[in-house]
Amino acid sequence: MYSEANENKIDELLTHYPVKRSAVLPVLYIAQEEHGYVTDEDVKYIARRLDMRVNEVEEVVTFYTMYSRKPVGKYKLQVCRTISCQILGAEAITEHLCRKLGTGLGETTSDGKFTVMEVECLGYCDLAPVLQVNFDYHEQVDTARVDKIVDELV
Amino acid sequence: METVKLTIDGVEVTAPKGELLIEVCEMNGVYLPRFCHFRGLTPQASCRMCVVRVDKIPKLQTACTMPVADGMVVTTASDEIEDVRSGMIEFLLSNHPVDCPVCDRAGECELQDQTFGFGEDRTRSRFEDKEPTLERQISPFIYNDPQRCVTCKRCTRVCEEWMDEFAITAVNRGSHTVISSFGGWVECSDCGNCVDVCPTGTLLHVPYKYVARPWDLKQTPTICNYCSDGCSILAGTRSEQFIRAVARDGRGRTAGGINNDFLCALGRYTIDAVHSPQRIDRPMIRRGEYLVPATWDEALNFAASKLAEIKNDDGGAALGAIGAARLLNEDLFVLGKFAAETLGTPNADFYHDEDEIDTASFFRYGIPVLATQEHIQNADTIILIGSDPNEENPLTAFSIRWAVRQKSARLLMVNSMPSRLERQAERAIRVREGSEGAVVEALLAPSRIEATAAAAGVGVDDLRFVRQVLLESERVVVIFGDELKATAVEALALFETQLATPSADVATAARNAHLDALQRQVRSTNSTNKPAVNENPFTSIVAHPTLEVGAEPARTSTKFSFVPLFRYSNSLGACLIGMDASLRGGLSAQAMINGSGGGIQALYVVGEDLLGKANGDESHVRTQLGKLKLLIVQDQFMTETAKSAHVVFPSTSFAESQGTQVNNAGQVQLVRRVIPPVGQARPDWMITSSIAKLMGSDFGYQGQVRAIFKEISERVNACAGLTHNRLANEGAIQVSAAPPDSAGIDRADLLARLSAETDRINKEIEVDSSELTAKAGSRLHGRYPLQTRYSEMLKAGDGRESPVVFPA
Repeated sequence: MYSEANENKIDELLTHYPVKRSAVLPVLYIAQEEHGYVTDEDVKYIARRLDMRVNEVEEVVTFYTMYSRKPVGKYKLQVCRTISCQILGAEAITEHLCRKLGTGLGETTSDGKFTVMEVECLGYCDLAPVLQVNFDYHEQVDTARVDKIVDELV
Repeated sequence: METVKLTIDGVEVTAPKGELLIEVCEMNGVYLPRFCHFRGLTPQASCRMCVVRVDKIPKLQTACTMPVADGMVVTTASDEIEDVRSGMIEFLLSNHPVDCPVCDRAGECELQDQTFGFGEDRTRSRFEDKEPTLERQISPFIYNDPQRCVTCKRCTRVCEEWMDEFAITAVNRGSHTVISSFGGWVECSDCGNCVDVCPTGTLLHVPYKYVARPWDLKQTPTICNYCSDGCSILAGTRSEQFIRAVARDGRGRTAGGINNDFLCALGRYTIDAVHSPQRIDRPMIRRGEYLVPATWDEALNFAASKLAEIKNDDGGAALGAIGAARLLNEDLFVLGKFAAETLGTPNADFYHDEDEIDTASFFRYGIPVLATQEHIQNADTIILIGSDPNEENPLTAFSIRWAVRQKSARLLMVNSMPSRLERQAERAIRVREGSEGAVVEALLAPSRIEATAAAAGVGVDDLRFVRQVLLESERVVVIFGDELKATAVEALALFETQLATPSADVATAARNAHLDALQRQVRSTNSTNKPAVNENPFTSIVAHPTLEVGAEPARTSTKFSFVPLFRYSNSLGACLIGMDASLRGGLSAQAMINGSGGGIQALYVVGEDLLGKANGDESHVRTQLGKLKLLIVQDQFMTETAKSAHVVFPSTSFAESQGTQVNNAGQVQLVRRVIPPVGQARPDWMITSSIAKLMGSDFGYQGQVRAIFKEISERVNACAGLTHNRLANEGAIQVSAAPPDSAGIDRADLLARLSAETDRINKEIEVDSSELTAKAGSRLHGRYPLQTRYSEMLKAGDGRESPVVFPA
């Protein structure tokens, strides 16, 4: 179902754990990498591959905020909303991003480039507020820095 | 049983060791509020309502996860605890819609009750809604309103642990957690247990939606009529309408039966047959081509005079009576008595054909020790031969799963078809179709093991293993279905002597070895799915799903006990009270049909559709029935057989008449009348005795069904000492067994007959090794013969074309 490299990677991942199902998180990342988000077919395929029930995979995908079950933009702008970031103005940053890109929270821009999301604690409370763009962290952001980051990506 | 002493709120109490504190408190009259705790499910401790203070432990403890210990000092009520509880309620209410006026659960809602008892009427915070969708249907029988959920996860645990179906699950996280499933549509056997255990209005029964308020319902415990397990149901009625059947209502009341909180799709969703518009509402007499409505007097007189005429002309032996195996004991008994005393014929039988378990063979040497659901749940080893209880007797399947999961029982299976229970089996052997008897022979005669293995198409090692496990086990329940044919069923009587445990030490050693192996397997294997055996050390604590908390598990007097999975609700009762033709020396039902027009001139058929059961031979049966001078039919529905009758009487369903039935564990249970008869219907026994009276023999029951049962208890040894009152007070009472005396069995002859059957097996039949592909419950739903709104839905499933592969 996936590229050969990714299929091999799944095979390899399965050897890391005593029980196949334990590999569900890394395998879901592979699915997301292939399709941009986790599709229905991915859930079924992974369930079959890891000897799980589709409902169990669905449970995992929907629980973690870093997996998406809907199409998302090329860049996921994830603003931490947990308490340290919130106190230092995370809400204002979220609002600014939405206004700048003309989208609602959790929505994707019409060109399919950006999705603005709020996420739970990213573990960078000492450098709050934090913005995560896909896998990159940007610490102590303010509206000016956010503008710069986004403009570079456009 | 080991006990401990502890103090609850200053009172010293004694409790079984290892029992959960929440249950011990309840046993001693201290109710602790709870949402997630449910007897018979793994502890979850997510709702935090049952917190108590235990001395010497610094923090408050959840009573639902705390096993009691000696010297424990517990405080269940204080300002501190009250604060915590009302705080939890406040949290739960912060994103609950509080739409009680339109919620079907209102009135029997645990969230309402807990809020009233332990919470405050306001909440200071308001979260965003859980999900934009308000209410949706997620299966043919289940509505889901995610907003009302308190995420106790009782439903998902029921689905996993009781049903092994994993059909619903909790998705999303935090305050957005809702009950849902992949694709938003639930593919399952529609048992509906998730709805019963739901403490709020999140999951609702579709047929009961907006139909009645719980406080308007009159709830009567009675017994389900649709399979031989004999589950109790709580029948909810309003204005003489049978509205719902549940195992457990929202207030936690159950019918107190052998099934406790469990019920399947048939018991729950087929009750609308009772009020079906297709029911016969008045007696009818044939006038030429048509059946014409008549008064009761006309019809009864017609039937009586015709019967008397034929008896006069052709003699009593020209008459025959056929009853259905789902009728109550009283109906069948009166029918038998009517045949013997009024008609003067030995030809009386309950309809059973060769595709069913041969009752006569099973009871040939006495009444074997029968295993109740409790015995199954507490067995060391269960061997299942020739049946899939998941699709035929769901309560038995539940008990098997329970025994394997909670009590580490060993499950051995011998089947020719795939079954979902194979996941729980230690060894599942697929045999050639029709060769289940060969396996029984292999167990009894080790010297024939090669020949039987070849005949059954299985490995010799498999058979040796099964035999070894049976030898080493202390308590074995043998569950068999209709794939096991007559001689093999008869041979089961030899198990007790031929497979006796060599010594107690051997059994103990084998049990310990098995438990060790299980532990290793759970910890280390690359097992598929979730382990079928229990991996959570806490769950062994909730040990008695169908017992009073703390009761000693039931044991049978013999090593082997049996569960014959009969097809109909009262097959065993019919046999016990002597309706089996082979016991009366008369013709069997099939022989009566074949003899029609010759030796048999009139048939009296009660509750059975002979044409519907003809199984491909319909034209033959139709011709035979056409030759009769008189065909009398009593039935609820206008069946094909009723359409060809000379006189038709409308009879009551199980919901409209009182009586008793005997389940496959030999337990006599009282069926209560929950609504008055629909239309002009009368109970079957009443119709039969009215005709008897017109023919000159008054049975003297005076319209009292109790009087019939009194006579049954006097005449039938197995029912001695039973009365309706006793059954009403004590619930299910098992008939006394008269286990076969091994000296009375001609062993050599029996084994020779078995060998001859084994040698006749056609070895060219392929062994079915396919995976199970049908939707869970598809055969179960197909069992239900009547056409009603919900039974149609059950049969149709959700209307999707491709079956879902299980496990998906």
